[in-house]
Amino acid sequence: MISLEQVRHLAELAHMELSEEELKNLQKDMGGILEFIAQLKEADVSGVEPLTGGHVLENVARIGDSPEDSFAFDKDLLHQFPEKENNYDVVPKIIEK
Amino acid sequence: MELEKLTIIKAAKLLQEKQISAVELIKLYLERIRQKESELDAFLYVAEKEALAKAEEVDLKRKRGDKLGVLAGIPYSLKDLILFEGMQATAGSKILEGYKASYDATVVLRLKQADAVCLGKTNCDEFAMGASTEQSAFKVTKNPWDTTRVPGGTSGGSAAAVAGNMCLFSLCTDTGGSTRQPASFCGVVGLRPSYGAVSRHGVIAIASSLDQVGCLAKTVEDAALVFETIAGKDELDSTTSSKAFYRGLSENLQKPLDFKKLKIGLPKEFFEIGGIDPDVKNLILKSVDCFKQQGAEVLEINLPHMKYSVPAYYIINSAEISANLARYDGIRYPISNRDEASGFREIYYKTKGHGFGPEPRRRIMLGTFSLSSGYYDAYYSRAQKVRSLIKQDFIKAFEGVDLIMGPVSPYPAFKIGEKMNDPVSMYLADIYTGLVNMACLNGLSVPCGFVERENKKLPVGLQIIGNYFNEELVLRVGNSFEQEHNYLNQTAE
Repeated sequence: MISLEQVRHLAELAHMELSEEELKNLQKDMGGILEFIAQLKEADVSGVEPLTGGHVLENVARIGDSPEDSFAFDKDLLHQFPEKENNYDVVPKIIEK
Repeated sequence: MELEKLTIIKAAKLLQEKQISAVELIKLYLERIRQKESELDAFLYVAEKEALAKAEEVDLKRKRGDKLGVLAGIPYSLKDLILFEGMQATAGSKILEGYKASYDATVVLRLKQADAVCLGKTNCDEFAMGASTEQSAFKVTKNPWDTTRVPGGTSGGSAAAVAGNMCLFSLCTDTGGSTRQPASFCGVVGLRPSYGAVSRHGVIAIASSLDQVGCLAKTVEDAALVFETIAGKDELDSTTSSKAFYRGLSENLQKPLDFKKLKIGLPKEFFEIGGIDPDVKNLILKSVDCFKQQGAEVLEINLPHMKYSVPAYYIINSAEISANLARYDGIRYPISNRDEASGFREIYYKTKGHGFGPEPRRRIMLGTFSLSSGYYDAYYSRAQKVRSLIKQDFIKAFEGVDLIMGPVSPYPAFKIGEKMNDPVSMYLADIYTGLVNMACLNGLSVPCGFVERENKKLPVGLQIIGNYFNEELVLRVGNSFEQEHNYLNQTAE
């Protein structure tokens, strides 16, 4: 129901490095899950609006100023970064020349 | 002191009357954790120092005559998915090892204001995906009633800790049944509040349109008190509703109920679905009959779209998971495989590939699939429409009844390892609980008896589902049921 190539492509979209064996296991598991999920095709959803979450829709605009000092957690967060320099998180270069 | 017989209400009385100090009580619980932990594997972190410091503070406040919170000195545990400043929060995953919370979740802050004492962080399925706590990256929690069986999940560590008398209550989460199902398996009370009733600020996001903070306790009265303490509008979580107003709830609990005015709905579909254990079915029907004998009217109702609930749930759940878990990319949390990587893409690939366990990987892949171009309409969008239909079924049902009752789980606690190789069979464990989350409703699991398996007694929970933000009625009816029966006086071992 889902090809190994599709599974490989999804892993790439999800940014996950998976071994050949794991890809094959996922192909089998996802095949079973997708087969199970296929029952949804029977449901008559014509004219039905999707439910995107929540029961009550109400105005949620925040009253007043931002409740936190933007730098309140700096120290606690900084020491958890895998790589840091001064007060910055080191991120890899993403734009090539 | 017999911790087996202690409840929040009883412990609070002992503390108020100074029959025991908070430090003495906390030491008893820490000692119990030391004794039981190797057998049950409920905790991922025991906060001994922090707990004793808080207990000393409570004792000092009491000595000085300061005002104390409603949960002063009461020991609790916290699912390792909820942030407590300075403590770990792994969500049961290797990818969050080494991370320490830099702030308190709103629910934790409210418990701190109520002077409750946190004993530590409990085990759970990795990122709350599973139904048995076997998917934790760290250890497998055991059911206190039979240690060869699972405690349920995903809040299995929390349920085992309460049932094993290692704390008086536990805060956890419920995305598809993660509070109610372990409550049923471990013979404790579990409340999943309405969507929007409790703040999720500081709770690790799993599937944001389904997640809600739940509580596990030994009695309905205890659960009501905890719920009242943590519930209500929070400026830091825009999904909390102004309808979430519960002041006075625990006092109203003891008000007499006029059962003659109570209409209980029993969904026909609940008992037609294959796979329900006949002994569980009998217990549920027997429990509903108790209400009938007290004068309640029991009506058969229909939830025609129930059969689509589990498949639609897994599409929505995995889609939201694939989005929420994208942040664990090796850039801002301690775990990173950047040393083996060249270029930013490889950092993502390697960190995620190594850091996530099998179930998160499956869900991320499934979510990526249903959100990807060409499949979105057939899967994700269709699932959201089916979700609307499920919600409409409930709204229609509640026009004719006050409450809906049924099983929590189709079967009692299963054996460790029994369902690990079959994801679909594990997903079906949510059949009676997930649809409550799909409809944004609330549900309570209350012990309703035992079944016997291999000469061991295994608890079974009755599910009471309430209308939007009407947790009060659910808890009052649950409380009355509990007082009519003596299941709560029975404890594991």
